[in-house]
Amino acid sequence: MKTKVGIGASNQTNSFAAGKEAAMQAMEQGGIDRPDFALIFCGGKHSPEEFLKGVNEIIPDTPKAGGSSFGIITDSFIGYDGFEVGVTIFSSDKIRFEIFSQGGLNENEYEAGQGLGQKLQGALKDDSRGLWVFYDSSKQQNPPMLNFATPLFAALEQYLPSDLAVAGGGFLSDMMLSSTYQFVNNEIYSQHVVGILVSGECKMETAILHGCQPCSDYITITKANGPLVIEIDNQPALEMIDELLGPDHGVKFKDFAMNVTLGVNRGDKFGDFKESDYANRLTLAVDEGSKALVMFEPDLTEGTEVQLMRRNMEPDYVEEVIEEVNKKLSGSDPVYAFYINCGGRAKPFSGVNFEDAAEVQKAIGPIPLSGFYSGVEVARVGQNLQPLDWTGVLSVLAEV
Amino acid sequence: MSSQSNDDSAQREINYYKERLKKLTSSYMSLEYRNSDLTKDVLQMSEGLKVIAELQHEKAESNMDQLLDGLAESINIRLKMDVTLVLVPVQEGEFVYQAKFVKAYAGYPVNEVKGKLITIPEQFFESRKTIIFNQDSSEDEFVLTLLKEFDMQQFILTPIIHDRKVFGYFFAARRSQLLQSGTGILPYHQNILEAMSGVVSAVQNQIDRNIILERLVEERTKELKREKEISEELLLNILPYETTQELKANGFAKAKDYNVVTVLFTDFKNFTQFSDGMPSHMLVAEIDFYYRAFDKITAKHGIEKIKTIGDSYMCASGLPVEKKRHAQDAVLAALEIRDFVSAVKEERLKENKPFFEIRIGLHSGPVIAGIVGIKKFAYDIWGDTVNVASRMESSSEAGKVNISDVTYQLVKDEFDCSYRGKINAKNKGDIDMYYVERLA
Repeated sequence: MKTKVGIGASNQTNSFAAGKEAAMQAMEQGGIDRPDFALIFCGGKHSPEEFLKGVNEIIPDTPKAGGSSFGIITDSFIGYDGFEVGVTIFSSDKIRFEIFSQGGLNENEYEAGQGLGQKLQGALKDDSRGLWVFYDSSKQQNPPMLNFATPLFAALEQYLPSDLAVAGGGFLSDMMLSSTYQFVNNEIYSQHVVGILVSGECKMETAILHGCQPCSDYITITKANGPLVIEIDNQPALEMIDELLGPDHGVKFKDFAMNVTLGVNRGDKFGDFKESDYANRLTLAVDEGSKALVMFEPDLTEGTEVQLMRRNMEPDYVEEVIEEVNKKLSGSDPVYAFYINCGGRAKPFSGVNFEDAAEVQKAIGPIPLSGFYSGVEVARVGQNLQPLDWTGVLSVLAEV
Repeated sequence: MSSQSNDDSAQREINYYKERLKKLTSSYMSLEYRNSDLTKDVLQMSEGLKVIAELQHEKAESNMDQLLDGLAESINIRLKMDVTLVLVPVQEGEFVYQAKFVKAYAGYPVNEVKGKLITIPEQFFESRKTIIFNQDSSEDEFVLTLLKEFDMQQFILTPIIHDRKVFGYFFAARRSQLLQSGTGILPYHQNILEAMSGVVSAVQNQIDRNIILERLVEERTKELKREKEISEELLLNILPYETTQELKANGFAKAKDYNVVTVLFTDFKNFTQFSDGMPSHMLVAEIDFYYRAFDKITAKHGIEKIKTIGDSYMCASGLPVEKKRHAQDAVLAALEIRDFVSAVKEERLKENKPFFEIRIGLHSGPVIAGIVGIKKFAYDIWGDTVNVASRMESSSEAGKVNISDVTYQLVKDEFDCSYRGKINAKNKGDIDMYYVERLA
């Protein structure tokens, strides 16, 4: 039997009803009578307990994983208002999904990565083909602080074979850094990292969608502290960005958050522009007191040369990237596409006139698609697991 | 030119283009950021317009509670609010409003807020204005009340106007964002909520009209029901119940053969003589007085009144529903009629007033019963039994109940009867006749 995938979504304010509706839709849409595994996500305005209860009205005994999200993407639905939920149900004789989790993320990201890595290492088989990883972006403490993906994935990748496809996302529920959660079967966790190991007669391909380019000279970070970029070219960072935006730009400092993106060119500094050479870092928040940018990741250290990035005004890049994925999958039978897209790339935040996820919907064609909007995205860049910002990570699962 | 001068010139050129690039970039980026803000607004406006467009499909007979609940849900989701509720008046004409239809993010104390009472200041109520609040603080007492009671930081409060009165208020609110400043509540939110208020008013108009229509329909239905009851009563006065049902069901009623019924005739003795000296309206009143009493007596004994012909009253027992004791019931009715007329006679004698005396005759046998004609339906019976019964009456005497031998055989065990002998009845020859005296 070919793998069946059913996808459902809802945006009712009643969390229980929304979960039930989405799960019912997924069962019906996929024509599923034996649910084997489910990916479940709910927006930050929902109660995770009620949402899970709603889902469990339909698939109580099905293994499931997922968590809180900034928004939901399916074949036919895109939403990021906080009340959307998405449920994807799989039924397959050929593909297996195993769920692993590790807590203590807020205490030590590196150790959490090691813990999950060890569990995964013990479960890896010859036919393990891919891994999806989710974690809390925020430590959920006051003052707000992030869980950094860099140490988490640096630890995790030591335990993974280099040919294992990986796609991941850090959960962010809203602009208030409200609590986020992870679903592991019928448990609801917080401050955990969750891994879903995909094995069987299958193949997984991942692709990175940036869709942005530099729009400034190289500027150098001259003072930084962890995720804080305090000075650029010896000027307070906020003032520097303010200057780069020109006079009368009308943007408040606070609104640099989820907008200002700095790119690091890892390729030829003065060579032709090559998108894949860039690692982007999105501003999570601003610290107006110290006139600093608060980045999602702490890797923009002193001396790092960066450029202010802007989005591509045309969505052509999406089709090009997906064509490339399809080429790699030729000869196999794609059954599902999973898209983890940065919340900052949603249309109201990106400043472009197109919806990036809608372009993915179009380009992916008849392959069932679902996904969520995240705070941080993770994929392999070369051999390494790389936390990325302002990025979309697409993984396509195919039967072989 | 020296090499130094060339370098300076090249550096100036680089600086020039760098500066140009910087200016181009900055103006471009500034546009992009503004575009981003506008996109948010346009998306929300378009969502609001979609909600309004969807309302066009709202059924005119919508239940108002369902409509308001659905609107609160739509506002909260589509206009990206954190909390939306409707304030509805506790009592018409008063300024105390209750929070209902609360839609909110998880963690908001919905149950605590639901039912909260808010007093709307009279001046604000009369102004029918909207409040949009995005500031950090306020000195307005009413604004402070709303901020405190609903624990929100930015809100819009818009009146729902119906029939030029405040029908309720939409309250939609957001929390302050931690990461961005956000655009807050904007004037177009007011436009959208006002448009929704218009739809609520239109639906309420329809509901009001429906209520009036329903009331009219109810009143008319009652009238029709009453008219129908009167018609049925009238019909029942003319036709037996079973025959009316048959007529209603089929549009016609078949004539029916009855093997044996008992037919009863009465006649006032010296009626013509009596009526000669009496004004006709008094005569009619007199007959009416007696026949009303006969009607009650026959109805009491389950006897079907057939008709009256002048001073003759005709009824039959054992139809339209056949019954075993048709003869006994008919004789009981006959005795009761006799006694009634006799009692009236006694009273009238005392008062020296004119009175009637009555002859009664009964016979039992087969008849055919049914209705004939298409106008002024009348239920009637035919057959020799009817003629013999009539002869029994004419062969009777004042104050007597005269029965045929056929009837006598049916009732003799229950009544004291005296045999009168064979008496000639017109066109029927000699017939054995009996007077019924009393119950045995």
